[in-house]
Amino acid sequence: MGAPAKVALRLTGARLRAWGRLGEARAPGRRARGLLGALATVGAAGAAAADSAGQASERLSAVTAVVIAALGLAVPQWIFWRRDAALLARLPIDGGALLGAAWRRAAAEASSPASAWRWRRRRWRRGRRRWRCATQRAA
Amino acid sequence: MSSTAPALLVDELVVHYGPRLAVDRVSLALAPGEIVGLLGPNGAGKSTLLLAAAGAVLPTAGAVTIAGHALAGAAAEAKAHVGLADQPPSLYEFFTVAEHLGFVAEARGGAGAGQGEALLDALGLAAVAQRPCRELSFGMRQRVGLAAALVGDVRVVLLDETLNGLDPHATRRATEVIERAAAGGAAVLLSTHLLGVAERVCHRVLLMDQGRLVDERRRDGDAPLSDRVLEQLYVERIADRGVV
Repeated sequence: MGAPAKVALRLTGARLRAWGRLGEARAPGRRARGLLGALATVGAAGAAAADSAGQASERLSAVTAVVIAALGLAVPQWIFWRRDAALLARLPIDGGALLGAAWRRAAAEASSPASAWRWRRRRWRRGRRRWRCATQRAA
Repeated sequence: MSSTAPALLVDELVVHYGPRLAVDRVSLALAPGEIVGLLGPNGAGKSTLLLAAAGAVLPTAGAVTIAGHALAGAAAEAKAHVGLADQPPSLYEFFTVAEHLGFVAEARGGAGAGQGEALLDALGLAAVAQRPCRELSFGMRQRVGLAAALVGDVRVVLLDETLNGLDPHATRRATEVIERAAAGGAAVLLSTHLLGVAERVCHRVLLMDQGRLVDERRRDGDAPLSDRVLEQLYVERIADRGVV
């Protein structure tokens, strides 16, 4: 047997992400997560609108703390543990491509609750301004 | 069968799961075109040996060389030439069968023109090529796992009880595909409890117990191994420990 030839790795990071998107787009969990996020957002916004500013602030702080804690715990899991790990481990995929895809996936997951949190915060500030105006008018 | 350098070389392989010793100093060599059966009771370490040979489990000690590439030093090159059908088969549930094969082929550096379709056709899976893997029966999943193990430029095929759960037609198709792969130069290591299949298909049979290879039987010329002989050997060499 002669000198073994080098293998050209064809599954680049971009191709790996494209395959990943194909699978994730069909996974029912994604829709469920989106629905859960939307329900949580609506619930938090409703609570913020109904309560006084002080109560709403406390609630939002608590919800934010829980979301950030859950997110902080879940991100390493998204990066290091996936159901397809057993399959990916035996394929000749470049480690950099795997890590890059994992980071992008984690960032995308993290950005969705973060954007919901920003929306809730804007909504709460608007509510607080209205409440101040109303109390000033009453006075 | 040729007598060139081995397609798969396992040297003094040791695998621990925490404190438990799963594979204990196993050495073996498979020539290109050779089909070797791996028999042994549940928990003997057969699956762990196959996983370690495929690079999916890191060994505690020892070395694996695939088609001349050391798994420890040139993992990408080695993994490009090894296909593992594990138990249960690791499939992308939301990919179609064709997409799953396409993904594996692309990861291995590409498949020959029409190789995936030919494999699906030979295994009787052409009709379900566009169905998601999650909708397949157990036997179909086994066959998709076998197709995925063979797609690409694979020189070593590791099959972990891949023929279990197949109906007689599917078993015949699968064994034909395995024999064709071996005739094309691939070395096949087949873990199975089906002594009839082992005696019919394998050129050589290894017996494994408690993490060690304890015996070996080689086919005598073109005559198949007898399942009676294998059963007798199994009973003699491996103690019946009941539920393990």
